[in-house]
Amino acid sequence: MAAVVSQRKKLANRIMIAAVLVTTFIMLIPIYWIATTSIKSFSDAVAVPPKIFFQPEMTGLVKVFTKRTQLRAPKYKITDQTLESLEADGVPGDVLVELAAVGKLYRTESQFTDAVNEALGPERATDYLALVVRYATISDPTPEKYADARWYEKLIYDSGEKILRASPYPNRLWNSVLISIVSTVLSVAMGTLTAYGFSRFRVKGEKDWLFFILSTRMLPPLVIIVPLFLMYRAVGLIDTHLGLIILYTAFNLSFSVWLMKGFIDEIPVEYEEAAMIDGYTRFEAFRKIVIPQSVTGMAATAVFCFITAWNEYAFALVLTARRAQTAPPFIPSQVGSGLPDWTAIAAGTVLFLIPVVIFTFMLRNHLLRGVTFGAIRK
Amino acid sequence: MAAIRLDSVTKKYDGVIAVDDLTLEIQDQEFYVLLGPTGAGKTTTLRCLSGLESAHEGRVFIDNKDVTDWSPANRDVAMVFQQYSLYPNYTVRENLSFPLKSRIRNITPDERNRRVEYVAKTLRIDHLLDRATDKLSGGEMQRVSIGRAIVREPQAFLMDEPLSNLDAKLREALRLELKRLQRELGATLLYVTHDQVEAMSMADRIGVIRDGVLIQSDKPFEVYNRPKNVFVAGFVGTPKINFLEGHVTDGNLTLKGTTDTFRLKTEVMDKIGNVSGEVIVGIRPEDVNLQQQQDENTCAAMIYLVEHMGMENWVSVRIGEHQQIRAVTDSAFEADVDATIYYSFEQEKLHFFDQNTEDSLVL
Ligand SMILES: Nc1ncnc2c1ncn2[C@@H]1O[C@H](COP(=O)(O)OP(=O)(O)OP(=O)(O)O)[C@@H](O)[C@H]1O
Ligand SMILES: [Mg+2]
Repeated sequence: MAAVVSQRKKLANRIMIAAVLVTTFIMLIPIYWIATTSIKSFSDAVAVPPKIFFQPEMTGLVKVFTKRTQLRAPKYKITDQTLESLEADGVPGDVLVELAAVGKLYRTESQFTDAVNEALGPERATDYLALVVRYATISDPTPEKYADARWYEKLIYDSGEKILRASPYPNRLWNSVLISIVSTVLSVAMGTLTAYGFSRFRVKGEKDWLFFILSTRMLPPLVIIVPLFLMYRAVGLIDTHLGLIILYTAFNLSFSVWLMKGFIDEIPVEYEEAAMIDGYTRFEAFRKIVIPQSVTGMAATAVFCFITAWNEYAFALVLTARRAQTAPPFIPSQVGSGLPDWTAIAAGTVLFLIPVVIFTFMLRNHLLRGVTFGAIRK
Repeated sequence: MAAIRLDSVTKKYDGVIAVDDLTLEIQDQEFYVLLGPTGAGKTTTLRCLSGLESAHEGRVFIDNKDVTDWSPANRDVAMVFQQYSLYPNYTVRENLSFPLKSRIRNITPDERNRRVEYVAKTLRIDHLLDRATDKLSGGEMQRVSIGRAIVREPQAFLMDEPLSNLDAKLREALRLELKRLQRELGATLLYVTHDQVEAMSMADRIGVIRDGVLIQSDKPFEVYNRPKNVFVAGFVGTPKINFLEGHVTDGNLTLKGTTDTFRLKTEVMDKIGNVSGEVIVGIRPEDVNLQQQQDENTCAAMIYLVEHMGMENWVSVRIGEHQQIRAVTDSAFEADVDATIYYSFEQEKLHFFDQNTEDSLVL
């Protein structure tokens, strides 16, 4: 009998593991997709059917960090340089003299060949045309420039563009980090204090207050975006770090208060009371007893607040333009003109994911305990 | 150590009166036990004393200083809670030294260590000093919390049912230790319990409290032998005291529902001011005599139940239609259920209470 039970248990266990694996697999597909796209070449990225095997390259990543422009089409002009090169290749002098008369800059190859044909006459033209076109082409970039270019510049040249300057992406990422961290710290700190107050003191109308705090989250945020924009403009908070920090803090605070209240309610009051009788003030007791006891809760709350602030798109899009713009509205702005460059967008997204992964990973122990908190304790 | 005084302290919670005009004086070095059923206001009294709650009315004195408006930290009393008393995440040593690290105390690290070691030795927990508190047994935890109280050398100790969630054996052992410790330290100790055995065995004085009112505050012997009212008489003593309704006329006590009548001695009648009329009679089981032969001033009863307790037997007998009396006999006593037996009372030990007020009639 016991053997049967344990057999059955084993089977159940296996099924569970299989289910978890399948779920994990499904959940990881988008991540895999983004990660691989970020290191594909543009043609591989848009290939149908999608390519599983491909030659990885860094172009996407380089693109995120640069402002680029399309390479210009080659132009044609017969310069002194061209004539010298032709001479060196044994083109007779009379031909050179006639060619020198074709001094104009031509924007297309056909115009140029027409001009050369006219100057040389059809017979000689057929003999020398290929050579003339070769030496008269002004390519973008010029071969010397290409030869001198750094590896990342070459990658961009190869994809038909050239780098104008560095993109503000690092700055946008930094804005995201700054704004998310500051607003997370603020909302966790304020949330913990507020929750402590609600948990430990008799507050008149406590239930109503708490409901009110929660109700700030019941409105779809987009509803208030226009009035908020007007108010921010009136007080000059548009496109400032402070503006987004205030907004995200306020946004996360209700969540933080509720979550922290749950955690602090679980900490027996007796600990603090014992500390107060042992000769500490309430604030010291809070610092020495309550804070260490609620680290887990604070960590879990911090992860949630951080992710919310980090991922926020709509407000950042409307309320910031450049100085305080965060990464989420910046990445799609890369779509820009012409074809959406999925490799660049994917590369930007991958970089954008990394800080959250690190943050969550650092707090993972607390997070696990935090999520299962209520379950473990009675 | 210091004397403690509560002066007409009243504490209300949302209209519920938890402590009602309570006046209490505890002498220096006294072991005072506050005894009462659950919800009586014992914990509230302690909390008012320690400063965790502020009383609505009345004043609190520690060492003859009015500390009513002082913070808990400044009152310098130590408290042992019923549960959750040890700081989690701290080792035993950190728990013991925590009170000494307070800024208001200003104790050097050397002195701190010395005191912690000393207390640990006294309580025989020195081998546990570096243990985490969640890896202790219940008894060890309770020792550590007592240790955290005595390490400070405070004005007074307040203990809120410190032994209540331990098993009986351990409780008995710790009871002895606590009493010895209190003697050795010369401590003023206010101990709260609902266990009358604890109260009787340890207290210098007992205060019996119910519904926030202090009913009687006396030496254990007095509380046992001269209870102020029915409640105190019934609360103290195992097995429980027998209460019988009766009628006194011309020095004769007739038990209600029966024809059993006893002639009361004149000393007894004098003691209760020669009352006559309806009374409640209390008689402790050990003061009920059972005998096989009928005698003068005995009445017949039927054996109802015999409980063998080892060193004695508890015998319940039925009188009249429905009433029962419990008697304590020696362990040799044997009787069949429903056999007839004769009972009488140690008359000096009879307690008389007013039927309406339930207060003692003893002058
Ligand atoms: N924080 C509170 N809020 C409301 N009522 C309370 C509060 N604390 C105590 N009370 C009430 O005050 C009365 C006395 O409570 P208290 O805790 O002092 O009783 P106790 O004698 O310690 O009981 P126990 O033996 O069960 O611990 C009870 O009726 C209780 O319900
Ligand atoms: Mg209590």
